[in-house]
Amino acid sequence: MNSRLLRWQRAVGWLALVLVALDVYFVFFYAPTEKYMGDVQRLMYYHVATAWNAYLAFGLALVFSILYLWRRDERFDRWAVSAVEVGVVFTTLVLITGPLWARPVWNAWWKWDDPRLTSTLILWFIYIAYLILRASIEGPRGKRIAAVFAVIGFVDVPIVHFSVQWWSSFHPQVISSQGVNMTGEMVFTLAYTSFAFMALFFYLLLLRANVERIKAETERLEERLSAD
Amino acid sequence: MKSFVRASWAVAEKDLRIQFRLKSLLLSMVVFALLIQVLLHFSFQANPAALEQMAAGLLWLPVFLSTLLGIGRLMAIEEPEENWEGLWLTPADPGAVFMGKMLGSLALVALVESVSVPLFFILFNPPVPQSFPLLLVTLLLGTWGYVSLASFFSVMARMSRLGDLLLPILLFPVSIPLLLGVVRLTQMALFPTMPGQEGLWLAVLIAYDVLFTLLPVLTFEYLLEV
Amino acid sequence: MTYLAAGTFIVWLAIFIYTVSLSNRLAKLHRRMEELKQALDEKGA
Repeated sequence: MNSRLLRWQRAVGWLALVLVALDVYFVFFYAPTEKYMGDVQRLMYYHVATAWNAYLAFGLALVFSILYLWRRDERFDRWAVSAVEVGVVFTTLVLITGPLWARPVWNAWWKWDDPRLTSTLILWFIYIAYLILRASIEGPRGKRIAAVFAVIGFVDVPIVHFSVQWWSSFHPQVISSQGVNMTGEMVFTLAYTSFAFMALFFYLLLLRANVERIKAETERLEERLSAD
Repeated sequence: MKSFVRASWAVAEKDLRIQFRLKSLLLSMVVFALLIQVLLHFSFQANPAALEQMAAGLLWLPVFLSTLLGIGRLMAIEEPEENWEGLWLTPADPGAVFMGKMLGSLALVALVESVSVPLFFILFNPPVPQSFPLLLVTLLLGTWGYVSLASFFSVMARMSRLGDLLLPILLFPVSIPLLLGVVRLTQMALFPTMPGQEGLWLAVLIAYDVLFTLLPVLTFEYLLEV
Repeated sequence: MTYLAAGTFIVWLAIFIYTVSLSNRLAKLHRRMEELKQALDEKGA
């Protein structure tokens, strides 16, 4: 990989690669086949692992956004937008693996009654809105306004989660780890996969934040060049 | 506290005076809401049998969509002659400025509802509401929360290259909980379904309104900042 | 292709594509930055 990362950052990348490669063994061989759903249930490990890490991403985005509004240090904004972007990528994967798991189990790609999938969809929209917002306003103002939106969006997340759950309480059909009879091996596999994806998440976060940093640097240099 | 209220009222009063003098925006919003009602009727081929499921949507969508379209115009008033900068420079709390814009918009949307809600009853002939007070409270809470966020996000959207187009993208996902609450409560108010859930959804709406009025008030300064 | 295979494949492919595109973007920007630095040096001289 032709990158310009520091040595420790590259090490995170290799670590993530090793952990994720090892994960294949756990997901496909170590974990037993689920009694009722069969092998397709193995998608759950990727589905849940990416979901948890997406939540981590958006939580970090909240922290960085607040720090940015407080300190106005551009580095915080860089971390915030990077966290959101990687979070959106992970959330997209949740929304893809969900229906692929659901289809053979329920005979339907999407069930609006499923509160988890529905809240994830709304989460996805909220953070895509953040990215569009930030991209469509120039300069520090754009970063500031996006940060405010990140705070409001994150506060909304638990409200969305619970209201969708209460709304769907008539028909509880959940495509998540709760619908599954989990053995010890499955619990371990889930934990390990989540951890592996967390390493991957941090590597992607570092990569994306560096892109943002170099981008800011080139813009500054371009300005200086044209100023002469 | 008193200066906060006074400042909010000053902004709201100014906006309302402008709107009542012009009347064109208010009229357009009302007409638009009614047109949506007609459009929805044809789109969903609403029939009496389906009314129980459709009613809440038929009641609320005209309000949501007409607010979406009209609120940009209300915020746009401040754009000529750098009014926003002027408001930023006043000693008034930025939160008070926001409350003023929000309350002015709320009054206008309430006027739109005073036409569209009775017309809903006339056009679609739902049975007499099980609980009229519940319907009224739902209208109040739902409109308050929606208008608060719509005002706030409208200011954000208008600062971007995309302008008003960005508003629904910002507003709709965040306001889903509100939508769920008002739909459930409206259903309960209009038809005899399951009681005992009203408390829950009323609590959700109240918490939502408090949170999403407080947050915009506290953070509006970041939007006004020059 | 089973649903499991499709899902797994999409997850790996998406992450791979994202990682590679970020790396490429980083490298490209880095090259641009070096170019600009050089141009500024020449101007200063």
